[in-house]
Formats: sequence, C-alpha cells, structure tokens
Amino acid sequence: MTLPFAAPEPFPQSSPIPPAAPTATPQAAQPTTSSRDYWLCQCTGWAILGMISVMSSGQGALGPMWRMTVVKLLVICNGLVLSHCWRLFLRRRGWIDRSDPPVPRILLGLIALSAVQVSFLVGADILIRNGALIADSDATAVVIALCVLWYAVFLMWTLMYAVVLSRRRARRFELEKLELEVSVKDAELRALQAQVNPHFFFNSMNSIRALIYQDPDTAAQAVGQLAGLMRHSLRAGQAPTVHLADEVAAVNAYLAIERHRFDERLQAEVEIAPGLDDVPIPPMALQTLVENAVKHGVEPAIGACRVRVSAVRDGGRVLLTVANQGRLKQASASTRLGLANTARRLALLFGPRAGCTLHEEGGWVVAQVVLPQEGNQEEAACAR
Amino acid sequence: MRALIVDDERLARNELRRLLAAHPALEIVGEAANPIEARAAIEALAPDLVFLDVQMPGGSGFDLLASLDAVPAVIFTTAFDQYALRAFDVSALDYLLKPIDPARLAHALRKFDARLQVAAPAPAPVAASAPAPQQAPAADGKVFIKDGERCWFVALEQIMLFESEGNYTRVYFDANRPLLLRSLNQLEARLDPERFLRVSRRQIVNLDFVTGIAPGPGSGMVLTLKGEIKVPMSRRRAAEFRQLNGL
Repeated sequence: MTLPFAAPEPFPQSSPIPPAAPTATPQAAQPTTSSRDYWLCQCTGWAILGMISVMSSGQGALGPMWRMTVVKLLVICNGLVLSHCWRLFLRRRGWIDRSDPPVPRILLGLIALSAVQVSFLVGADILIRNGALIADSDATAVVIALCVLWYAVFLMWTLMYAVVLSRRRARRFELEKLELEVSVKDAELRALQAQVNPHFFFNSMNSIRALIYQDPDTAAQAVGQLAGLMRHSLRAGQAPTVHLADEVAAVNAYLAIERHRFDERLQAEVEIAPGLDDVPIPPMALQTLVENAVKHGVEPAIGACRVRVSAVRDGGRVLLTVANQGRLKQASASTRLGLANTARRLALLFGPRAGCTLHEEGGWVVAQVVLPQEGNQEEAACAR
Repeated sequence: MRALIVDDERLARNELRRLLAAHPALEIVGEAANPIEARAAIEALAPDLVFLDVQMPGGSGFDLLASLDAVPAVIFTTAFDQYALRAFDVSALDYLLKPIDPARLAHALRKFDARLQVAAPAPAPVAASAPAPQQAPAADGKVFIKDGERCWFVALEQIMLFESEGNYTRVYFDANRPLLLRSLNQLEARLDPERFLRVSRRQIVNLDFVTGIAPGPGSGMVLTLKGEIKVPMSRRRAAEFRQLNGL
C-alpha cells in the first residue's frame, strides 16, 4: 500500500508460479518420467551394443554362427540385468548421488561386475557352444581381454549414468532456487500487502485526535472506518480474491478518512454498476489504485482535485477505473515495476486477457484494470 | 513568543492549536496551508517560531526554508518523514511526530525558549537601516542551505568563507561546500562586519578562521584559513585592512 503501484497483491495460493526459465520445463522431479527415461536409455544402449556385437561376428558355418549369436544376446541381456543391479547398488550405497563419489570403491565394484559378466559369458559358452571359447589355445588371453572389454563397458555405463544424474541434480537445484526466490517474493508481497501506509496511518490518527475534541461523532465514525480498512488489508494477505463489494467498502472507508484530512481538496466519486458485487478481484487491487490517485493527485494539489472510481461490465469483462485530475509524471522505475507486477498477477489469476494500464487523458491520470469474466476465468484456472 | 503554524491539513492545524493552548506564553499569530502562504506569512508577521509540516503541496518545508532570507526558528512536524529529516543534516532543528505527544511538545518549546534567551542580547533591529529589504535575521543567526538533496542549518559564525559564483554563493564550513541561492552582496548585508571581512569582489572571510597573513602579489595580501585554504586579498582591501588594524 505504501509505494506507487509497488504493492501488488500477493500471488495467493499459487506459490510455485510456473517459472519462466527454460530449465524448469517438464522432466526431473517426477519419478515416473525419470524412470521411463532410464529404461529407454538402458534398452537403447544395450540394444545398440548387442547389434554391434552380433554384427561383428565373423563368417562361418550357419550352425555355430547361430550358437554364437545366442551366446552374445544372452550376455547382452545379462549385461542389462547386471547394470540395473549395479544401479540399485549404487543408489542404495549413495555412492553416485553425491558430489564426491568414492572412486576407488566404484572402480573395485566395476572389476567385480566385469568378473561376473565374463564368468556368465564363459558359462553360457560352455552350455551352448561346448566351451569353444576356452578350448582355444590362448584362452587365458581371451578371457583377460574380455574382462578388460567388459570393464570398459561398465565403466562407460557408470560414467554416463553419473553425468546424467549430475545434470539432473543441477537442474533440480536450479529449480529449487527459483522456487525459493518466488516464495520469498511472494512473502514480501504479502507483507507489503498487509502493511498500512505509515504516512497515511499516522496522519489519520492525528486527524482523528483533532476530531475527538471537535466532533466526537465523526471521530467515532472515523475510528470505525480505519478499523474496517485495516481489517480488509489484513485479510488481503490470506485470500486469492475478494468480492468487489468488500473492496469497494474498503475504498469508501479510505476515502472517508482522507476526506477528513484533505477537506474540499479531495472530491471523490465512486460509481459501481449494479450486479457487480460478487465479481472476484485480487484483494487491494482497487484500493491500491485509489491510494495512488490520492498520493499523486490530491496530495501535491493546492486546490481541489477530483478522483473518480468506477466499475462497469463491458461485454465479457469487468473494467475497474480510477482516475484523478493531474498529470502523469514520467513513470518512475518503481511505478513501472509495480504496474508490470500487477499485470502479471492479474494474468496469473485471470488469464492472459487480464491486464492493468496507466495513461493520461485530457488532464486526468487514468488507471484501469481489465478482468475477463466467467468462461475465461475458468479457462485460466484450467490452464493453471 | 509569536508562532506560525504551517500545515496543509486543517485538522492538523486545529490539533496543534489545541495542544499549544497549554502554553499561554506562546501566541499563535497565523496559519498557512502551503509554502506560498507560509512565505508570505513569515515575511509579513516575522514570527519567532514556525511549526512546519515537511510534506506540503507545492513544495517541502525544506524548500520553503531555503527560499527565505531570514530563517526563523523552526520545529518540524511530520507524520512519517523522520527518515527524510535524518537524511538531512538538520540536527539543529527540532521535529515532532504527529500525532504530537504533549510532553515532547513542551520539551521542544523549553529548548526553544532557552535558545531565544541566548540569542536575545543581540537582537537585530527590524528598522529599515539595511540597504536591501531585509527582515530581522534568524533568531540565532543561522542560514538554511539546500543544495540538491542535502540540507544544512548552519550558524553564520561557523562559516569560514563565502565565495561568489555568479548569482550563487559557495559556502565553506567544516568539510562542506554547498551552493547557496543568494548573491554575495545580498549576504554581506546580513553579516556582522566585526567578524566578516570582504577581502575581494568575490570573497568574504570569517576572521575567526584566519590562521595566517602573508604579503601577496603587488601590494595585496594572502590570508590562510583553517584547512589550508588560501584567499588572496585585493590591493585596495589590503590597504583598508592595514589601516583598520594600524599595520
């Protein structure tokens, strides 16, 4: 309420605002997507490896070739199973989920892994090809070569897995940071919202004290109005929207208090079209605009200054307009930021067709909020 | 004691009047609702004390003070501008927060009263002896300077040097060098000739701050002020100065 347009109402109940950053697109967070991605990579990777391995078989008689292929495919399947077990093991031990993985242990584990894989290979070979592999003259060399080969394969697998994990972790970290930032902003906005402009508050207290001696009835009324306004602004931090009628009551209370302060300098008219009482609006949206009109229109004016507040239905939308006599000063950075924030909040609550504008027109400064109604609003809610 | 109330809100003025009723020694000679009215009232009524709102339509209380030739004693009243007051170097000024606490008001008035008594022995005659249409100087010989965003309320005797810069005058005191929106001639009329010496067309020096005198070019002289500021003295002025001091 304090700053010109800088007290845009909080984003009630929509805490994690869909962040605009490209990093925060689908992915991560969701375990189902992540495990689907994992299986996709696993199957593709092993299938490619299997294809390469089968195609690399030399020529020969059809019978032995088939047997060889079967062994290779079995070994590939076993590799898939082993690597999956390895993944479960790594995750259970938490070796891979941290920034400083115990590299020696992982390398040791990979030796065990390749040993198991080569043992399986040899076993399959014995079963299906009658041990053609170990029947070879330099079987030891072949087995060692196979161990090295499979060691390299599992090492590659582990490295790729680690890279994917760390990238995902970085993205999640970024997302968390973003969410934190948004929630901090949100809290700030809420705090601003619930805050009553101290300049207004103390001046009102001063006016009321003068009234107590001069006109006790009016003083009592003013206390009631101030209480009503405070209550409304406190409530603003809690609900995403309020009924227009409640907001207008707060605006009227505010204007009544300011009228005591400014006398005939403040000439306010409030016109609300019938049938708009239940229209939902962001809390304090109208009140903030009225306060700005008083601050920038009435306060600096030596003579009288008119302020007009209106709400009308215009086709499928509701227009809230606050106008004050005066000139629009070069919009300051805070004003522009406030306007942009308000527009964004409105868009979040009511969809892209909602908005907020400020312009000068024939000696009046006009602030307008556009709220799409009914169907559009539900659409917006669904979109969210 | 004669006081003026300046505030753009009628109820605020009424409230201050009510509070001041407890101090019968204080006579409220007028009210003003904006800086233009206030300026006119101060010039016409020459109040001893002004209760001044900080934020008003048509300019702040600071702007008003900076536009005055003779600054009366001031007590600022404000609802929530103590930050603005703190940002300015106006510690010499008093301020009261609205709604005003009667005890704080009484305290401020006591302080003001004491200040008035100190300043009383050297009352400046309102008589039209001065060449320019001058009002009585400030209650305690102070000048209010507003240069950009900064303000000072400084006693004349603390200013060591006035230096003409066109229609403005640069004022040297402590480590500050703000510009004052007055010509040197306007200022000279207000200054105590016992203390302030016009050393050249461009400069007026406070003799209390002179730490050394040396012969200068021609038959002129060079004065050294505190902080190693050198000020040349024209031949004609130097001759007058020598004569005056029997040198």
